[in-house]
Amino acid sequence: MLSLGEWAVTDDPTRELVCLGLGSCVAFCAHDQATGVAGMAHMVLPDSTNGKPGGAQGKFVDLAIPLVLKEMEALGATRSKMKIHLAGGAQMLHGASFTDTMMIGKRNAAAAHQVLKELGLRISSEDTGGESGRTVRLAVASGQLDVSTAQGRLAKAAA
Amino acid sequence: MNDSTLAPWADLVSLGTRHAMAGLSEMIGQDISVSSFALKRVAVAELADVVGGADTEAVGIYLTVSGAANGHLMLIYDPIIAYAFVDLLMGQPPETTTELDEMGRSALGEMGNIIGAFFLNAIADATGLELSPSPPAVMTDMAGALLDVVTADILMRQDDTYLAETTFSTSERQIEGQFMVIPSEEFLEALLESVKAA
Repeated sequence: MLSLGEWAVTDDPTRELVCLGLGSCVAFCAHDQATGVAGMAHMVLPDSTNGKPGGAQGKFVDLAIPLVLKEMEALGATRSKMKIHLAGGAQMLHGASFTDTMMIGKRNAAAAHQVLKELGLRISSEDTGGESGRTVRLAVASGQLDVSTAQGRLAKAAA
Repeated sequence: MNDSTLAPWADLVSLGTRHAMAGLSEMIGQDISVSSFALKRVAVAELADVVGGADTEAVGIYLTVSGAANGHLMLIYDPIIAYAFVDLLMGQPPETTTELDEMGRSALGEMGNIIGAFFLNAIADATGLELSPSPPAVMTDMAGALLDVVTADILMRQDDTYLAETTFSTSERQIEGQFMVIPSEEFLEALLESVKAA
């Protein structure tokens, strides 16, 4: 389970990488089927150049993605063969008084696109934007991604 | 910033909280007692644990503070507690509210208005700083998602924050609520500066 600014890379097939309750945060998920290496980052802010240096590097989109990719390669994964997913980046707040804060989700997703484009990597699936928080689970063995929302959970419980 | 420099901050938040509870008490026409008050330094990444975990469903009432300094006020509740508040605010028998409709949302928003205004007025009076609350946003979602509204801003500058936690209950009904005040470092500095100057 990854809290804000944390990332993890593993080839342990019994594990699942999880980000719980993402709002404006974005989860970067990557999986290499051939080597069974998976990585995930719980990213909070788009750009490290706007924040104070130091502290948790994983909180910034522009730093977290290269970090995860590098650690996955160290475990034998091949960048070009990875399936990459993005989830999160919701807009939690509405109203004229919240304009600055409410853009964070969108900016996080946009920053992830930019970073991946610069690295020449394609996004396999994406579930970003909207107005709901998400929980994201990546099964290390299969590479299967599961994204759920609070509403989705309620609907399932009622069915 | 060490714990001793925080003493004036704890006093201010405690003062503001007492006023906020008095305002709420006036609004609902019942006495409110504060059962605990704590000021803690917590890692921003661990804030969600304070409210029962990042994917626990919760209702959040959120206001930003602006003026002489910026900060965040967040009331965050288990949905059952939020429904109890709606009943209390609207003068309904307990357990009338079972989901949050537009009416309930606006009642909780009004509660956020009152608490925010009383809290900030008390601090403004004590420090001479001009502080004003934004209109409240009422949200229902996973706690982690609600907190992102606050944490993204705080994490831009720091990895830790000071969390003021208040537990309170009304005389007639046992409703325990949490009132979280999450200041930015800049907000704390402005407050502490004004206390020194006074």
